[in-house]
Amino acid sequence: MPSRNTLLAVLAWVLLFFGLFALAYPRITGTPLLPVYKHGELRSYHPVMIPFVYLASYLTRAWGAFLFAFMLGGVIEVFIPRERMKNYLSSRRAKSYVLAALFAPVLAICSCAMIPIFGGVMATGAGIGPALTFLVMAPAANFLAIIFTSELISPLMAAARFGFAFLGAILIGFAVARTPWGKAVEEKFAGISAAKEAEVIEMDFLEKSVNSLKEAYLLVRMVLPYLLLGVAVVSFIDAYLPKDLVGTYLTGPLGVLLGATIGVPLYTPTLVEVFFVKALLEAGMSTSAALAFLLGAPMSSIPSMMGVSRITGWKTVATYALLAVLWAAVSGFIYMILGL
Amino acid sequence: MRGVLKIEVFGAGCPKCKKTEENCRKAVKELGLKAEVIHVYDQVEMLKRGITSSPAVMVDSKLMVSGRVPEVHEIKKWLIAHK
Repeated sequence: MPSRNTLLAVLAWVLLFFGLFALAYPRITGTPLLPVYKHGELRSYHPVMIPFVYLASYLTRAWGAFLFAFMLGGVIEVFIPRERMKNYLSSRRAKSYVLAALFAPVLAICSCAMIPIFGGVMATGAGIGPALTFLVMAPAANFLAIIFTSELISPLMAAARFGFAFLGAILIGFAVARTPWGKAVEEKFAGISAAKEAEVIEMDFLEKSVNSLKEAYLLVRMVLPYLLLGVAVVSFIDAYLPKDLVGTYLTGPLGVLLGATIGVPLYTPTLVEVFFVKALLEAGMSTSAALAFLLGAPMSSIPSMMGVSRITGWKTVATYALLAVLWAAVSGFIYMILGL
Repeated sequence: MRGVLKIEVFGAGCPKCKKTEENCRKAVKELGLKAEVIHVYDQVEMLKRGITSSPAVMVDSKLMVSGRVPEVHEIKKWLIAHK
């Protein structure tokens, strides 16, 4: 009889690969693994029912993505050697910026973990530039957001989101590190150093696998309530937002500019931005405006700016948020010119 | 004799940090120790203390774990060793 831990470890990996299979199956065969529930015209339902039919439709369509993304989240939490990764970013050279942008998607999923890591990057001696690159990249292109963008919108949009966020995060980190107030923050935190753990417990593969299941569960518990609530709100927007309004304002150059800016006052919890953009796309938003929103909204959301401003002061935050919105617009325009 | 043990849990309020605090309280209760468990939510304070990933636990200002939720039996082991 295998032990409970062995069973849990096997379960963790089976769920991960089953999620991946469910995700890949429709792409390869063209038909979904299980029947998909399709709601009809949303307005024909009783308003109380709208969020439920909407959620049911998403759950039957995207459960594979949910399963895979959250199990992967657990695996990343446990198997990624964060501390070692952070230590690669020890210089102010361009390499640190590139690595910060590359590592960000797996270093922080939870926005509450961002600020300690931001400080941690500064403490390695990389300075504020790479730390900001991390801070801008993590919410805009973490792996959960990229999986959902690919699954709900399109792989092309996911690739564009990643690529433009990558370039933007490096440029923004580089630019802010050269402002007088950016340098002042760096001096303020020059003395901090990371505390060392008394003893680091090495876990074997089995224990890590079991822990990844626990981590996945915690991730679900953290993300899902807000996600369900957010998608319920989106269902009403999808049902009642006049299509001509979207067609007038969220297309063309105006659409890109609005897409890049509306995210600042509009706080969307983790992943909800993808569902929101999907609903707007269905209503006629242009893809370039969608990209601008997917970059601008997470990079410069008000709650995260408030958190960061306590550490860096508002001047640094205002600078990076302004640059983020500008970059989101520029990306949208490039996307439009390329005709994607 | 030293005074009361000081256990500090660092975390900005995410479920993992709450779980960590819960585990610490459980460990203290099961051992029947006199200890105070403090939850530090302030991220600037965390930075100053050198915490670079949350949740993290310090026992009398010594960092025991960071970046994951410690199990009750682990915490008990630290507390016993610390006494």
